Amino acid sequence: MKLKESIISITLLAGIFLFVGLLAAAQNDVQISDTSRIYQLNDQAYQYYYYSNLDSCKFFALQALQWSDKLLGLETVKNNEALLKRCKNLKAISLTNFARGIENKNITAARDTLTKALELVKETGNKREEAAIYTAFGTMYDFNGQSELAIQNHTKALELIREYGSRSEYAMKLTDLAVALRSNGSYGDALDKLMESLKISRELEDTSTIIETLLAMGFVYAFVEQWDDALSSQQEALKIFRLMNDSSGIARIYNDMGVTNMTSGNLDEALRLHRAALTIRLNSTEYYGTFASFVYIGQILEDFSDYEGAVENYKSGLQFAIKSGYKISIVDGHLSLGGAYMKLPDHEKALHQFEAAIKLSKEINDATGEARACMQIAKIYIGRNDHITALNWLNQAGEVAPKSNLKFLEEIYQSLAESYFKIGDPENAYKYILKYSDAKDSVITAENLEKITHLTNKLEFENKMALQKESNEKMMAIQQGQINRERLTRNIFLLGMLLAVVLGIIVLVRFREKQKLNRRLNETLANLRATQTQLVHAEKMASLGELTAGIAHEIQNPLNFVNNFSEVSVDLINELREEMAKGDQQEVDAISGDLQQNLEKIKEHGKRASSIVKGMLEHSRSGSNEKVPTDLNTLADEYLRLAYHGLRAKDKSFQSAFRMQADETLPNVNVVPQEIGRVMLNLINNAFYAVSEKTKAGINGYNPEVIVLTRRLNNTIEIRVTDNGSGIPDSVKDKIFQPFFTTKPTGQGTGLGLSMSYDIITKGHGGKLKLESEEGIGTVFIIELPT
Amino acid sequence: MKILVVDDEKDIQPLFEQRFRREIRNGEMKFEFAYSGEEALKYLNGNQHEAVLILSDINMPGMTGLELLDRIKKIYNEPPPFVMMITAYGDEENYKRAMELGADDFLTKPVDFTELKEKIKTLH
Repeated sequence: MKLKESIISITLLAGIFLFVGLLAAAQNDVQISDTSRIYQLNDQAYQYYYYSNLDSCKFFALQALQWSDKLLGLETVKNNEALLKRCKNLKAISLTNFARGIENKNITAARDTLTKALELVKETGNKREEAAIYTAFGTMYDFNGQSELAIQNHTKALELIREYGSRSEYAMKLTDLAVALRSNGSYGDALDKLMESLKISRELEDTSTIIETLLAMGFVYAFVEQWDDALSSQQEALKIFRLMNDSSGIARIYNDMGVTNMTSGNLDEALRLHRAALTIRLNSTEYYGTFASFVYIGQILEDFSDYEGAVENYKSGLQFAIKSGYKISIVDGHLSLGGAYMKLPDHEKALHQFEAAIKLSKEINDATGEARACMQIAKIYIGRNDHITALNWLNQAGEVAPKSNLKFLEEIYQSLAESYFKIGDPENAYKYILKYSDAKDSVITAENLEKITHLTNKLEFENKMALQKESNEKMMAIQQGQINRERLTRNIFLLGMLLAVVLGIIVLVRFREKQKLNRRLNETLANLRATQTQLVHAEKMASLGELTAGIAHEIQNPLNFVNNFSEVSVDLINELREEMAKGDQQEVDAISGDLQQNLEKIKEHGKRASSIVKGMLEHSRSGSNEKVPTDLNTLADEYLRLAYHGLRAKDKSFQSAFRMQADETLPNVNVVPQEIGRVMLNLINNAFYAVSEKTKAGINGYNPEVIVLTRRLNNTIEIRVTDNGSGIPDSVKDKIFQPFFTTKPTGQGTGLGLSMSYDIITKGHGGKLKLESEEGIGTVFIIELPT
Repeated sequence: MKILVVDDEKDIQPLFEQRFRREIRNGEMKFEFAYSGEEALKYLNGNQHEAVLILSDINMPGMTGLELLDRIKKIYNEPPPFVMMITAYGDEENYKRAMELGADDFLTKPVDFTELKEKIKTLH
């Protein structure tokens, strides 16, 4: 996020300098060297387009356009064919960017501008630029819901790029086309394109296309209601963004995952995700995204009947809609806020919002927005039994509402009929009842049609998927059957044989295709598995590093004893000889007793040291982890010390009290000791980290302390790791167990510790890992293990 | 001369008893052992002015050696016992803090008993 902000501010600054430079240059004549200026201006325009700042995109594109026109007017340019081509291309690029800058406000003008740009590049024969213009066309149509046209244009661009572009551009294009196909309901085709794109971009290690493709895939799966597949595509993209530390991307995926969960009806999770997206976006300049997050949260809260919460979110959302400059979102914002006020109910405030929506929607010719606002106002007056005023608004709504929105018309006619009836105008009431029933019939027909289309698309998709998943054996069986049939038919008809051969070819071709798909799926799976193994190994090694320092200290103590007791024993032997010479039997007995004790001590401390080394080896060893009855008190105590001394060794200024409160009645529990050890180490390290951060803040009278407590509950054993650090903010609590989430500075944490701990406790041991935290007071991590 | 040794490692007792075997037998020195800061304070409360020298480890669970030192120096004004701190970390930070809190001397683990004996003898 930081990076993006600085990119924007740098481009902005550069833009300002450039602009000033341009003003100065405008005094003089145009130079051929000005082409580089036009390139820069276009670059800037595109950057702004990419970050959804269309006004600035338009501004810079217009500058570029003016300059290219000036160049085209120069005699030197007109007389030099190569130069003329170059300038025409520049103009085409400027036109394309200009069209991008106005596509949200005036689609007709944008289309005409792009057509003009297309003519220019066709003159110059620049195929790559031609492809870019088709892409711009496609994106514009896609945004506008004209998916057939979008597909046509993206296909043209794809063909050009296949021939003239790079493989990476080709992969990107495939994804664009897939998005258009998806909008059109061709989910199966969309998925095919996405898989091809994913394969290429994986080979090229082109992360941005991988991510776009995964996200597009997520939505394909969501449209066919395969929520798990949708979420796992999104999560995979999330992993990449996390690795890249791209917070804006992370927010985008939280947003997408939120939408997936909203559509699948998992509202709690959706709320959590949208809030997570919002937290990130609030620190960015992505105003449109922030607006969207607020609105999603508002919608969910409305569903939960928390209207006050919804109002708060819509209000903030509206502010960001205004900042973003998207007029249509501002209208949406007013409508949403008004709707929530109605439910509160606060009709005055609601009216105020709807009036604002009407005013703005008139300005930008947003008929749907205007009609919806009128309808809402009418509802308020109906509620007050003021049917005359309501009728005014209803009629206005009926006039402006787009005739294609049957469902909305149905609602308007129904209200009109009811209100006319209430004021004693049966004639008009009857008229609207007729209109209402007409509209209703059409709505039902349209809905059925839509349902059927959707169902067909879904079935088609599922069929395709099912075919892909068919095992090779099954295909072999079909082939075998085919051969048998061939034998039969050979004896009967020549024609039959021919048919069988044709069928055989079809089956073979399909079989090959499926094999290819299967191979692709397997490759993807293998890639993912390999990555996962690497990450787990990295995390193990990271925690081993933390352990080593602690172990060095822990091992020093027993070694000191071994050294000391053997040294003192050498002295004792000398004394023993002296006393023997003297013949003092009593002293001889005492000394030999001591000697025996010392040898025991040496053995004991030697064992202690070797068990520490063994523990370290176990920690780093992978696989074949068996559950054995384990004394959790000893384990916890060991790791508490290891963690403390490990940190001390790294940072000598680190100070913290720590203590073990062991429940001595704890029975041995069947666990994998090295795994539980790893979890303990992780939690304790985090606890020490928390108190050391708070110490660094320099609060007077603060005594850092970490406590590890064990206790036996009914059917569970509880291990609590408590610290009195700064606590974990609510916004972080939700994410804390997610892989790659870390609040530590880059390089200090892998972000896998807690997520691995979570898996070890829940999946590996059937237990629970919970956290309780209060900001400013501290945090407790609670491990619950079944006995 | 009575010496109180504070360390959470219990085997420190046989070790000291053997290292100072002669001195103990001659009645030159007498050792008491406490396995935590809390235990040491309890002992001192019951036997005020008895211990002339206190040898304490710094890194102990519960009350650390530095906290113990602080308490001893604050509570026992007259005559203050001689407190020598022992720690596995011979770092500046602990040394400075111990000195600030009024430690009279500083030893690092592993303890050099010949040196310790010399130091104790100069106390006489």
